This record gives sequence, structure tokens and C-alpha cells, in this order.
Amino acid sequence: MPSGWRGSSRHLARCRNVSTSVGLAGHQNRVVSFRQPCRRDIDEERLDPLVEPTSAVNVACPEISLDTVSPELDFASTAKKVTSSSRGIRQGLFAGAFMVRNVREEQHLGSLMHAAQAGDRGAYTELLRALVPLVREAVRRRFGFLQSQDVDDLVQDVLLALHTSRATYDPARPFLPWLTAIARHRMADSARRHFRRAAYEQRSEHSPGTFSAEDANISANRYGDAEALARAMTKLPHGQRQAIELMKLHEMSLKEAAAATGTSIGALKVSVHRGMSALRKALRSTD
Amino acid sequence: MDMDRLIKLLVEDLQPARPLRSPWTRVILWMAIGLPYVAAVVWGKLMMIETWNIASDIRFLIEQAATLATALIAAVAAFASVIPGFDRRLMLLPLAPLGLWLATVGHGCVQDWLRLGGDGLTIRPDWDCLPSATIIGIVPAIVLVIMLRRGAPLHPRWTLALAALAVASLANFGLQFAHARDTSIMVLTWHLGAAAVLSALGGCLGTRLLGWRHVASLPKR
Repeated sequence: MPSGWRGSSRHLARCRNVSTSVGLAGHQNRVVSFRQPCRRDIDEERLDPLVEPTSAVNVACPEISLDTVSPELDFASTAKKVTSSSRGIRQGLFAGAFMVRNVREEQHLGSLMHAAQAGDRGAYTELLRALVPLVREAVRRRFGFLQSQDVDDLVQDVLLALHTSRATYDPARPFLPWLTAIARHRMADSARRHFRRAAYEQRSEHSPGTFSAEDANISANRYGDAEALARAMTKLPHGQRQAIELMKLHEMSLKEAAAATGTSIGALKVSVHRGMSALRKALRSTD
Repeated sequence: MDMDRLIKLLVEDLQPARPLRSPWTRVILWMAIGLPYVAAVVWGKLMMIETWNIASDIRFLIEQAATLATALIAAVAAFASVIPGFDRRLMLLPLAPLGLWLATVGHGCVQDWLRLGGDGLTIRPDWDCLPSATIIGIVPAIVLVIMLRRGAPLHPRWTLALAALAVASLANFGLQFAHARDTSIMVLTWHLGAAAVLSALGGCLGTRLLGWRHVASLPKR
């Protein structure tokens, strides 16, 4: 048992299915107290074969409180540290990977989901907004190598899956294990897609040339000197500078840029052409 | 797509959703549709059955009970598999009645061999049964797939394989009344074999019928 646990081993033994230490990730030295034995909750869990009791702290000890400030229970780490001899209680590596402040927060999420099932849009909005950071954090922890855009895509996949399978949530059961199961499957699907795609990709140091002429294979010119480009831009006439800013920097279409400047499309084309020529000339002279 | 935009779309799309009933309750509902239908299809054959003969044939009764139990348990497992957080061990549950079914048929094969010799193990083509088997299975299959699509397709292949096993078992339960006098090797080949083929086919089609297609159909990105 980690140091700092208030509560005797006999008290812990009353949570009879939890046979060894329950750790709080990052809070090993904090003082934790159990307020009531949790036999009832464990028995309920054991009786229910459909529930995958993933958030082990929630299963074992629903009334955990931290005496110190800002306690956040890391359910993923905690779940790994809980071992169980019970048939009903199992741990999962990714199980309960969502961080919630306490059991009440989970219950609150469950009640929001229940309200959403009844068609309460306000509750549903609150629920989805609350879930975004939770799921995002879980995805980041699981797939640390993903770019933020990919993480957001995966979070959206999870939210969409939650939306379409919201009828499968049973308000009588804990919310997070249900969400965890959905998220875990969506992440597994995503990982499969990622590796399937990767299997068909070949890494190459140099892109093969398309044409024999060297210049034809250059797809984009890199600016060697951004300051020189900025200086060259300031020297352009107002009309040309504005046309380049709108069309090249803000990526407006000809129609949009024409509407924004009040000029014709033809005049805009001419301004861009002249501006680009002037810039090329100015940058070439600085080389 | 922007996260706020997605949330807005999901909230706009929100309709009241009644929580799914427990797998056992849903199986009872499915059976309430499937069993009367099967009975209606084989009604003519049921009327021709000599009740006292059937009642005295313990092996036939055990076989029929195992077949019906396989249908029931496989359907429970299929319904449970579309609920996030279910215990995966439930998917192995149909193995018990399936084993009993297989054992009963195997015992019948041995008995037929002892009684009839080589003739008791002769496999004959029995394609006449195919149309009636299809008719028996089609309605329970459609109802089951519709009910399963209300859940979350977490393991679509396993779910549909279990569903196919349930439907095949239910159809066999009905067909057996028309083939009560068939040798066990015929039952093993055509009935259990058909159940195995259907389950494998269900496993292959799982992602097509039960995938997250409805997720992709929402306005996204």
C-alpha cells in the first residue's frame, strides 16, 4: 500500500475484490480517505455481466476524496495499478482513460447523457463540450505521435459514434466505461486505417523526377529571404500590393477579390501579374 | 470540420432516443416475431407430425432443445455485442448449446451407423429444402439485422456471425419438424453445415451491414 493512505488495510480489505494498492497517478504522497465501504458497488458490478468495470476507482471506492487541493484522478494509471481477483472486475490498459475530477463529475456526465436521450439539447451541448477535452486528452495519451489535426479528427469520430449510438447508453450504468468502449473502438479503427495506409506508402529520400528537365520538377519556389520579400512588397504600388495580398496571401478567388477592392476581374489579373513580376525582379536583384 | 460546428450539427440532429432494452428482453421480442413466423411456415408439416412418436424420441427432443437454445443464446450474444462496455466473454456463450447440438447429432450419426451400417452415413443432395429454409430464415434475419443496427457496431463481424448462427439455428429448429426422419449425417451436413456457412458469410458481411456507415453519412468535415 502506498504511503499516505489513511484507512487501514482492514478497511481496504472490506473492498474485498480489490486486492492490492490503489494508486493515484502523480499524487502518490497525497492523503486520501475512504468515506464508506464499497461492498455494495462491487457486488452490483459483479452481478452485471455487461458492464466492463473500467474506471477501477469508481468501481471500487466511489467516495474517494483528496484532502489536498486540485486533485485529479488519473483513471488510466489508477486502473493499471488496481489488481483484482474478482471474476467481475477486470482492468484494461486503456480502460477508464478519461480524467475526471471525481465520481460526481462522472455522474453529472451520465445525467447529461440521460437528458440528451430525452432530447434535451442544452444538456447535450454541455455534455459534448465537456467531453471534447476528455476525449482529446485520452487520444493524445494513446496516440502521442498524431498531429493536432489528426487528434481532432479522431475526437470528432468519437463524438459522432457517441451521437449515433446514444440509444445504447443505459442510465442505470456508469457513463465513462460506456464512453471508453466507444472511444477505444474508434481509436482502434483509426489505428488500423493508419497502418493500412502506411503499408502502402514508401518512404523515399528524394522524390522521383517527373520530367527530364530539372526546372520542370520544382513544384514550389521557396523564399530565400522573407525580409527581402516583405521589403519588396512595401515598394509595390498600392493596387498591386493589395491584389497580391488578397489573392496570394488571403487566397481569395478573383471574384471575391474584385468584390473586396471594387475593381474589375480583368484589372485585378493585370495588377497581380505586374505585382508578381515586380516582386520577382526585386528579389532577383537582392540575390 | 470545426469542433464547435460539429457540436452544433450534432445538437441540431438530436432526437429523443429511447435506451435499448436489455439483450434478453430484445431476444424475447425477436423470438416473439420469429417463432410464430417459423411455426406458420412449417404449419403443414407440424400438423403431420405424430406427436407420440416425437415425444418418445428423446434424442430428437434434446436436439431440438439444443437448436433452439443455440438460436436464443447466439441472439443474446449478438444483442449484447452492440452495447458498448459489454463483457466479451458473452460472445463465447453460444458455444455451449452449439456443442450440445453437435454432440446430439454426432451421437445420432453413430447410432445410425450401428443400425444401418454404411447406408446410415450416406450423404445425399437435398436441394429441395433450400427454398423452404430460405423462406423460414428470411424474416427472422431481416428483423434481427434491423434490431442490431440500433446498437453500436463495435464488433460488426462477430455480431453478424452470431446473428447468422441464431437465424440458421431458428430455421433449423423449424425445418427439423419436416425432416424428423432424416439420418443424422444429413442433419450434420445440411443443417449444421448451413449454419456454419451462414455464420462465416455473416462474418464476412459484418462491416457492410453493421459498419459505422451512419456516422459517415452525417455532415462531417
